[in-house]
Amino acid sequence: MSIEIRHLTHIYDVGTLGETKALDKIDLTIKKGNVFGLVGGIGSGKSTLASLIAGLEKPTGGRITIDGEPPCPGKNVGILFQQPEDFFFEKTLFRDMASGLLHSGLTEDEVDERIHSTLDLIGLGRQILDQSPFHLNRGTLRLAAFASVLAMRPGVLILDEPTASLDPKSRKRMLEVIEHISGDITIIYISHRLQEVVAVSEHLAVLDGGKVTFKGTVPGYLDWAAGQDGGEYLPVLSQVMYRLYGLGFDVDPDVTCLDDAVEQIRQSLEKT
Amino acid sequence: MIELEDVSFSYPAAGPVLENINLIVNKGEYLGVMGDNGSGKTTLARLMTGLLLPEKGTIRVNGISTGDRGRLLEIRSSTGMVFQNPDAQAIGETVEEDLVFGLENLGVPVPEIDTRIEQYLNLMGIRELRHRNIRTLSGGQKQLVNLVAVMVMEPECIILDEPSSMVDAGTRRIILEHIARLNHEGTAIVHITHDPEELTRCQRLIVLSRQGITKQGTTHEVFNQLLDEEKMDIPVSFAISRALGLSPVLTTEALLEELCRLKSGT
Ligand SMILES: Nc1ncnc2c1ncn2[C@@H]1O[C@H](COP(=O)(O)OP(=O)(O)OP(=O)(O)O)[C@@H](O)[C@H]1O
Ligand SMILES: Nc1ncnc2c1ncn2[C@@H]1O[C@H](COP(=O)(O)OP(=O)(O)OP(=O)(O)O)[C@@H](O)[C@H]1O
Ligand SMILES: [Mg+2]
Ligand SMILES: [Mg+2]
Repeated sequence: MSIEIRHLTHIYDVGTLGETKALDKIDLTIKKGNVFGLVGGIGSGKSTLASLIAGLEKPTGGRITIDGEPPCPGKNVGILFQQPEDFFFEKTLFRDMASGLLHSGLTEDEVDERIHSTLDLIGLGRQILDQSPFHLNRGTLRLAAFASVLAMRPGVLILDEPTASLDPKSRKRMLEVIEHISGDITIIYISHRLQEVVAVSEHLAVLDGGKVTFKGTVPGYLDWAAGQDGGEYLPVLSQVMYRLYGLGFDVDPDVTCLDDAVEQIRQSLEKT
Repeated sequence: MIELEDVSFSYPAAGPVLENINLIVNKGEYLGVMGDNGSGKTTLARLMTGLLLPEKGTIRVNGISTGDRGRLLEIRSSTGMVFQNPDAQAIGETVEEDLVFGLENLGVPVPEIDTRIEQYLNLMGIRELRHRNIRTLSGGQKQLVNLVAVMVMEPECIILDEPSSMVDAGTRRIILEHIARLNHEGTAIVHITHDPEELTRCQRLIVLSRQGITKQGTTHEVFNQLLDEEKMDIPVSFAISRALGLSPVLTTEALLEELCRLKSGT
């Protein structure tokens, strides 16, 4: 599904002392089956945009359409909240996952099948289904929340900081799953971990104070970010490579794999 | 500062989580804690602050057993904790109320309360959030407020459970600089994280697993072991310097300096 965002503005608590303009005339087009990265400082409006695209709130100005229709939570769009705790209310994970699926009209057998195949995909054991979401450690809770949204097979999937609290193994798995499901599902990937955003996204946008300050491809972003804030918003490896390039080392600043980077630095040192 | 002696703990629903853990956090030291999801890091943090009591063994904070419930206030005022789930920490409605609450409990005189709050909100660059309702803050803003809520109490030891998992690179740098400064001024730090780049200023590192503390040593020692096993992430500069056969460094600055030195042949 493709997403059109036009002149989108969102103001919280309009007319009060605490009035906050979270989004300011945003225009974005997100293509079908794409992974679209969304980055920006704290409080820049990412989660607000996520909740508007998910149809959980109505924007105070402008509009969003998903394949020409307005967003409809649980129908054309699913969201993994930044706080996985916000996801759960039932006594067991199974009941949480099943309630949404039963509601969408699946039979009990289909629900079982759907839940099991989703857990397998994410690499979660089935014993987790009997556990209370409130007794899970935070990383596992986030994976469980991911399983719950994914099981609904949404056309648009919004992931808000999906790898926070995940250990390296689970993080890698999460990125593999995203790679695997993209193409069928349009994914919006919100994260402060630039290394990951750059690795999974095709296009990305940067928000700053509710405005879009960059939109484009990943190489375009790397070039742009290299010239901002001393390169602080580049992935760490890119920071090293851009700085070396600037210092006269014969390296390609856009290299993204550690082994390639090491090889280039080695060769560059040998030449001198 | 904090001593764990033969500590075991299990949740009724989950079975044993920690078994026979021995660990000392020295006064003024900066200890990093890594480990897989579910290895018991948050549980360890809760035990250290007396939020949970060990099933077996003892935990002493400045010599006071966390089981000595009559002296809980002393323990709470010497160790503060930044929670992993930012929604679980706040007590007040607004940011100001939340900060005032903790300071009043400590018995800080009223005029000083106000100056301290102003000082620490300014320090972290979030003065404009003072009168905001905490529940309406963004994820990263909540994490900053939670950090301030602990810093403002000026405890002897701060336990951080993933304090910067939801902030941007610039904010994270500022947080880490302030943590390092506090440590330099004598505050003991226990820093739990999944991101090795955050641990470059630690003096000592432990890795927790379901089997207990499986690795411990200086930051260099532990990263060296982790690199050999290719099991966990380590800082990019450390990986590059080791792959090039240089003596390992932890930060981009140190790596660039070393490479420039090699290039110019000096
Ligand atoms: N329910 C709300 N009521 C009032 N203000 C809000 C509300 N939710 C968010 N805000 C404010 O709107 C702005 C944007 O918040 P948002 O949560 O969208 O940021 P974000 O980019 O997701 O930040 P983070 O990276 O910290 O999660 C912030 O200033 C925030 O304090
Ligand atoms: N309140 C609870 N009730 C029952 N079991 C719990 C509870 N809290 C944690 N557990 C279990 O204890 C184990 C350790 O959890 P803990 O939260 O300490 O892990 P962690 O290392 O902090 O993980 P993460 O990296 O995901 O934050 C997990 O198996 C978890 O499911
Ligand atoms: Mg957010
Ligand atoms: Mg934890």
